Amino acid sequence: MALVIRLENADPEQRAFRAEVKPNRSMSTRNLAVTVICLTVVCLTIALSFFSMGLWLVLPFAGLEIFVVGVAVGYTIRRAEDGETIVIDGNQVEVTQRRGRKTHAKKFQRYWTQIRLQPGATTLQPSRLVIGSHGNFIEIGRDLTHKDKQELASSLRQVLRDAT
Amino acid sequence: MATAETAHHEHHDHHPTGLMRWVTTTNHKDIGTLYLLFSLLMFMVGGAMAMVIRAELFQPGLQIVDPHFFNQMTTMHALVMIFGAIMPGFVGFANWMLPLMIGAPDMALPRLNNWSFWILPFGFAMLLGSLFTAGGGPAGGWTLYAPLSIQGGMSVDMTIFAVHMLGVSSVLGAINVIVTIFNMRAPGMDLLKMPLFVWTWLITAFLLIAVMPVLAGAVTMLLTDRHFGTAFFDPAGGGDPVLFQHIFWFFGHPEVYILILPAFGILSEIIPTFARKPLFGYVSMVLAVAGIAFLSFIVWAHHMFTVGMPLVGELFFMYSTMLIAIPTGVKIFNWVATMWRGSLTFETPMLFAVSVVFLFTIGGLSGLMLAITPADFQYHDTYFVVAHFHYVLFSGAIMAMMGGAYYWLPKWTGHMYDERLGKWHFWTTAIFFNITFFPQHFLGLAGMPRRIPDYALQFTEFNVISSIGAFGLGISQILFVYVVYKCIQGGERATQEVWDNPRGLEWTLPSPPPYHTFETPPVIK
Repeated sequence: MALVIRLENADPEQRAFRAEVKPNRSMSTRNLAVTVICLTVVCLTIALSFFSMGLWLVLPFAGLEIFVVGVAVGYTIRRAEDGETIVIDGNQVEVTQRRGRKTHAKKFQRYWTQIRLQPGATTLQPSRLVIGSHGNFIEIGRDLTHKDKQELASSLRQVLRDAT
Repeated sequence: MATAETAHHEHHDHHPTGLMRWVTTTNHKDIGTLYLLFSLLMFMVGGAMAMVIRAELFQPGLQIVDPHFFNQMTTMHALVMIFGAIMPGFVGFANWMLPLMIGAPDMALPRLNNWSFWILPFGFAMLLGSLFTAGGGPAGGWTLYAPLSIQGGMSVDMTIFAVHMLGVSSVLGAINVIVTIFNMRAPGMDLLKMPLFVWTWLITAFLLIAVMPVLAGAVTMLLTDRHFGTAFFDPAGGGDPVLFQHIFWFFGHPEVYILILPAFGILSEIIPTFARKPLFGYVSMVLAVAGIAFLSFIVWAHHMFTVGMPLVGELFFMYSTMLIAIPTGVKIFNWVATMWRGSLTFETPMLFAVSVVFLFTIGGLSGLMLAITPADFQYHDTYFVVAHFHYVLFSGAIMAMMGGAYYWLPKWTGHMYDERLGKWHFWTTAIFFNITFFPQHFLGLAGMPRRIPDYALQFTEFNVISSIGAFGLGISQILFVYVVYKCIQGGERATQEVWDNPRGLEWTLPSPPPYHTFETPPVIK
């Protein structure tokens, strides 16, 4: 998945920091929905025209196809909402992860928070970027490339180091 | 604010190997390769069937095959070439090139992509397997016209099922293309910054979505007429066979553009590169493609002028068909204008592209002749029609694909193809193609009907010429297979740009590109 990392430093002293990791999307949800509606109108117009001539068996295939298009676009839209937000503010590090309809949030104390970039168990497995403290770690940036994980880890370490 | 901008990554290039790599792959490059190789295989299979047809027609009388087998060959040749060679070929190009051209890491729905491809071999096993059933394969022509197809044997059922499978594959591929292009373009790549190949494929995908349910419905109604006592098209039960022709061609004519629009996209990539100029009239090209796609929905009945339509209907379909010459003319003009005063060189891809522009124009002009209703009454179901659609589909779609293959082969394989053999392939293809199909215009004008294994003596000379051309054309394609094989095996290392300053994101990647590309989207200025 193509991902875009946005790092925002809210204040010049880097006391507040926000990293947004989310897929690249080139079309809004609204426009994708409009596309599906247009396709539906075209397909149904054709199918209903044949239906009116007695060739009704086009209609179920058109319906099935529109359903599949809807599912595919819906899946894409839902996946497009996936992402992670890492906010470092004051003494707190908050990681919010969104996968489909599920949202998980985790908070850590800034002073104790560690960032670890672990290599994959085999060459075919990706590296893991984890964040946490006191033995309680969660993986972040799962869909990022190794290089992007390195960049994100470096940025986070920098902010955490500056805070101490 | 900082934005991570990395064009591509060399690492994480590991991937499974062996047979399972190809079975389970969700990588767009792997699936593109599978589609292209499958298309090449089907091209050779369909070509072998064409050889049977031309061998039988080498002289009048019945020499090699019986008429029923001849009819099976004409039917299967068309089905294999349309659904097996051309459509999967273009899907292969789409799989390989669309993500690279728009800066996406892969297709939007990779697992669906794997499924789209792997339906195809089973669909074609079903279709080709029908040749071995009792009574032989389908013999009523690729159009499956009722009532002949209602009366056929079990092979027709297998063909209907195969058409369903191929239709599912096409629709899934089209959905993937639409979602990928709409949602996965790199930041800054507006719709009007997309390469024309991407535009042509987007419009093709919309056409596929619009017409595939019509084909599915049509063949299912044939099936219910055959086995479930309905009478949609069966005159014995009060059905209307002409209605089948309407519904079939409502699918069939947009299908013609599904087969040719991606070829226009390929030409629009090749010509600017070898003219060393930007494409002339980009926006008008996009509008022309959209215009052709729209018109394709309102011209279907020009395939059936002779069924006895009201005069108003014939006039409408005649004029609407002629209208297509306008956007097509815009495209031809723009390609010529792109070449005008360009710094032209004629490597193999450009030779193919220029010949497509020239030969497709001949096909377009014979199409205009066929659009004239009273003239069509003379030409209908003659070899003039055969010549026309081969000028459109062979010298349009297939030769454009060959040009595209030579154009991107160094990018795909990392090796330059053998230019000398490539040119040999081009010249033999172009010459033998014209020897094969140009005389068929004269045969048609003289009244030789299509889809017959025997003919009157006065047609002998042109048929002999046509068959000699066909054998030459067939042998030439073995050279193509060899050039592709040789290029895959090795050769001079291709540079990143391959050609002289080509435009497009794909040329910013190494040749061959890493297994995973654009995992972080590039930013288009």
